[in-house]
Amino acid sequence: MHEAAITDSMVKLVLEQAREHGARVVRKVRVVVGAMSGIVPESMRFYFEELTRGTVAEDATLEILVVPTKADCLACGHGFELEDYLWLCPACGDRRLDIVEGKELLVDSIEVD
Amino acid sequence: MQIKVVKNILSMNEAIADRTRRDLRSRGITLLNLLASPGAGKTTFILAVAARLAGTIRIGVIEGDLASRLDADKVAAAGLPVVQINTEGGCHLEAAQISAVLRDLPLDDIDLLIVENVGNLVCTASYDLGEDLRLVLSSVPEGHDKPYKYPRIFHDIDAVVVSKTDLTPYIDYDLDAFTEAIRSINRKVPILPISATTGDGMDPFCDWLVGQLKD
Repeated sequence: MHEAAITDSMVKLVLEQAREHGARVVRKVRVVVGAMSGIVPESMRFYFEELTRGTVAEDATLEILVVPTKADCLACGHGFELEDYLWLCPACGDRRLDIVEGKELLVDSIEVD
Repeated sequence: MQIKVVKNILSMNEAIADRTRRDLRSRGITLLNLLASPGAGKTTFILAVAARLAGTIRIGVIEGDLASRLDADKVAAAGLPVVQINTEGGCHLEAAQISAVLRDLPLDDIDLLIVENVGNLVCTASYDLGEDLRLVLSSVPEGHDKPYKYPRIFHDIDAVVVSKTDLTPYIDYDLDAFTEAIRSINRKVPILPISATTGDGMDPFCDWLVGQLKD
């Protein structure tokens, strides 16, 4: 359900941009999704295919760029990517972190003719 | 031709949320978005807060559920103005749904409008409803490890309320471990333990809440 609603908003934004630029056809859509946003790319692809049917974006390729969750350690200042949601600093083992990236939900660009 | 867009996918939702925030602020109403999993005790918590603040703060409620009017009926029985939204399968509330029901509430008689969001720790985190305050209610039976498993929802919030603390003797729950988990995601957020059943912690919570309200 989450991906359905988000992908619906994403497709609306893409079609609005395509219309504004007088596009006949959308070739490619590039989105940026933060790892923390809870979006499953495969699920987004499924809904994208369904929701673009019969529109100028029907044959568009969907490129999903997943931004990993990045954090700064508040104890030692080390900046790192969180792997497997392991909430501790790989340098000093502290758990107090400041999350700096990973919540993105953006349409980055579209390619049109 | 490549068109650079760089727009938030939820920018439409955010535009509506911003409008709601402005409208309610101009009326002196604080909007609170209450997030939790199903069964965390959201409705009981709202009723306990309203009972304590009766005569001080005028509270209105928007109930969000997939189906039924059960929660709205409970809130109405306590004498509070309430509107029920049924999402019919939708797993979260969106800004447009809130803005659409505002006209059904007596806004001139409300200081604090509480939205009880759909019980869900995932998608509700992504949708701004126009709130001034965002709270997560996390109950003792859910376990102290939830912040590690659902980090996003614990990130941009104004307070975490730990509910059902009266059940702690019966459950393997460690508030220190919960606090440590929260601190790994959110170093500043206040953590306020309460029991709506015994009343423990309700006064400190209500003091905190009243301190957050707009004039």
